[in-house]
Amino acid sequence: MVDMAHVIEAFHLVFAFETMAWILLGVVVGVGVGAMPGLSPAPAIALLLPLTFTLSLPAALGLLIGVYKGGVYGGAISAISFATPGTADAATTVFDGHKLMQRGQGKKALHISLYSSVTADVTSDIITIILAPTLALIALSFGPSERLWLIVLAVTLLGALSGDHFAKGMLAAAIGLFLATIGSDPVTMVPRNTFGQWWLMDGIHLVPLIIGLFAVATMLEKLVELIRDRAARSGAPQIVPPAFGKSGEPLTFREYLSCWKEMLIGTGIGSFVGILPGLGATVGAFLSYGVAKQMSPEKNIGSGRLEGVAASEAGNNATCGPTLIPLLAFGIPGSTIAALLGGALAIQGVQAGPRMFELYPVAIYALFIILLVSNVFNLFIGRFFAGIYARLAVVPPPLLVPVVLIMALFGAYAYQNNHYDVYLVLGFGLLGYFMKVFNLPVAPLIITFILAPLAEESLRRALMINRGDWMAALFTSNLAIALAVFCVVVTIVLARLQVNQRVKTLASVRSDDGEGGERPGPGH
Amino acid sequence: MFKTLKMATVSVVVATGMTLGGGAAFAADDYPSQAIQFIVPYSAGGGQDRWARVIASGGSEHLGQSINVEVRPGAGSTVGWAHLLSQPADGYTMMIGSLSPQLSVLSEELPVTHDDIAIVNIVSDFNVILMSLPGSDWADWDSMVAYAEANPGALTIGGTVAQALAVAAVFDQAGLEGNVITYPGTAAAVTDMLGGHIDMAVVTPASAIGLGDQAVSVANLGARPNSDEMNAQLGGDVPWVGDMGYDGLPQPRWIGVHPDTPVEIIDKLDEGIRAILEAPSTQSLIRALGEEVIYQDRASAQAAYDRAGDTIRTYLPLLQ
Repeated sequence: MVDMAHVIEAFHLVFAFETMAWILLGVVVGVGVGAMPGLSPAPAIALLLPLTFTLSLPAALGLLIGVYKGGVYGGAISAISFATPGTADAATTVFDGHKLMQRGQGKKALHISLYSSVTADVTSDIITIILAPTLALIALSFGPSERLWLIVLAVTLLGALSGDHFAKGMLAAAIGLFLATIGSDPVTMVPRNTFGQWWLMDGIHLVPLIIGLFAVATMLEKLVELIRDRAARSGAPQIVPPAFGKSGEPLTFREYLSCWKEMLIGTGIGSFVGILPGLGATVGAFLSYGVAKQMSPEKNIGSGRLEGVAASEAGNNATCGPTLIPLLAFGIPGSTIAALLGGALAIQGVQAGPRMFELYPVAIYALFIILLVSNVFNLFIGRFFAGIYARLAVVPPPLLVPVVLIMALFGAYAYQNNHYDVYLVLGFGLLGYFMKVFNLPVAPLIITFILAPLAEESLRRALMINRGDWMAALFTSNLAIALAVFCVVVTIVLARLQVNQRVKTLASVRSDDGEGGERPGPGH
Repeated sequence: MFKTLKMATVSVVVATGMTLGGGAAFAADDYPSQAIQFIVPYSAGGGQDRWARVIASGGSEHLGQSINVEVRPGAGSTVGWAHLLSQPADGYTMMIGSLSPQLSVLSEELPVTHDDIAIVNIVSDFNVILMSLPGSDWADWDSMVAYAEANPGALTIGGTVAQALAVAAVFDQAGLEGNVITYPGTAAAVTDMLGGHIDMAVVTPASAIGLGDQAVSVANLGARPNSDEMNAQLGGDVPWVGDMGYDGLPQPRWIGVHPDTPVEIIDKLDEGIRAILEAPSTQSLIRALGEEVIYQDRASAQAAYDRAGDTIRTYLPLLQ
């Protein structure tokens, strides 16, 4: 069992000045990297890894975990401030966050994003610490068939994100599906839909897609508005608002509490998604946001609600701790971040895996304490950054548009040092702009883009394992059957709810009409 | 008249050749006189990236110049490789690679071909390990062969393309039929094995050591026997397919430069990297990562690279 002497030693190691300083540095770097579109925590950690060769174990873990946690939160800052998600997992934060910013409630939005991130992160870290072995065993029962059904379930739950117009939602989803098929076949590696362009062989990555659809498209929209405004009132003196204006009201404790339901959803879904290898923070955020929207239609999430920001940010940060579970329980990294932390541990002479508790108890307790402590740093540093960014709300568009565009294109290049990504970002920027013009929702495009390849890979692998037998591939275990049944039930329940709502709306429309007298009949 | 012109041309060509040759020799003399770019054609954080960064950390001390790691992933390593070819052939840009980039260029029509590289050396050559859950009917080589012969095609074996290729090669030579399933990464294959969704997984030694006693090592499918140290970490002598008369598949980690780079410069670079690899600090870092330094000089590395290309051409169709 837990030997208190080891825990106390771990506390001493973590609460040393050196470790604290490295965690602080890590979080600062992480928030900065996260806020910059195109830069995300994983490459930053890879870059810092050699630096840890000469550090002590707690300092090395502190630096890397600090960057990770700060980075996952940092994406929200630019998502809210400029409608430009700094990292892919902050894409859903744009929907409500930026609307709040435009309404002068940027500070509230930045605060709720921070508090919900930290709340979900702390809770999921505690879950990780207490339940790691049990949760890991649950994760193992998800093979290709079960994963396929899980993705189908995610799609059914995300239906609420398809917007008001069903056909437009489907069209957006179809575009996403097509973009997702570009690249190489996941099994035979044969290129498909690459139009003979060799550089498309790896397919399209999420980062240029998100930067294009969000940052570039929004800036193009603003640019068009600017040009129209100028044409409309040419010659009229322009009032340039100051770059640093009022920062808006801070979040009240009551408002924080009112988002409890969304934070709970985010924590639950994020933790679960985090444990399963290959899904990651972006899926966590989308699922949490979609489910929150689905569960509280009366809140009208998506129209600039604090609850929407809370659901999205809780959903992505809740994946941080649990993503380490497969590494700690089996020695298998479930994500790039986990692989990098496993590498950092290995360089310090600690082999991550089930025997870590036995062989390196101090290291594992230090890791747990750092997971929790770095949240506190994230809270203070995040607040500091939020204060600065909230003031940027009123940056005049003539300044904002070029700055964000440059940031977006730089980020697109910096992502892989690859100029093809810059072309893609520009292309997706145009696509995103036309989607805005025709009122097509972006969420279905991104969801199908992320989930379709995962579903395809799972299905194809399940079929290969079962030598092409569809029944065996789809219903290989009780868990797969249960998930399939659950998908059907969810679909029926949701459809009925929607129908009921439509009937109610129709009824209220009818009664409104009724007051104005009888409708003219066909005979008139 | 024509003859004179011809003579003149020849002498100009010879003179130019001498100047160029002299220039190359001069460049080789004070090579390296500036920092060296080290391209990693895969995402940051992977095995290649970690090796590159460990080697780069010894640059200033042992090569006399700093080595800057430059991550350029994309198109199955072709983006990074194409970048290498776009740089001057002066030895100041090098790239780390493994079977994976070779697989990419051999399986597709790409702007880069398998011969567009001069191999500097091989820094390591790991053995892939075939693993199973303990207590299964195929938990050691003989029972696995018996099971596979009794149930042709029933054994499901997962791994990355490069690792699955080793299974395909050895099974083909042994006359066994398995159901080889490719995964995007070792971790995903191992997870499916631990969950009982597939029967076996083929993994890197680092992953095999990490698994501890959750899985057993059935065979070493690499090109040489495991070192005693490796076997000790894996919990016993892992049978090597070479001892059974089959050719295992090497998994070399090579370093390459532009194919037109002068040989003198390549040799100097080779020497410098060798000094880095021989440093105790490098050795201990590499060992901590669950890998080992297995060095081959330029000549034998180029031959090994070409042989690996031939093996891929033979066995890749079995996976597709």
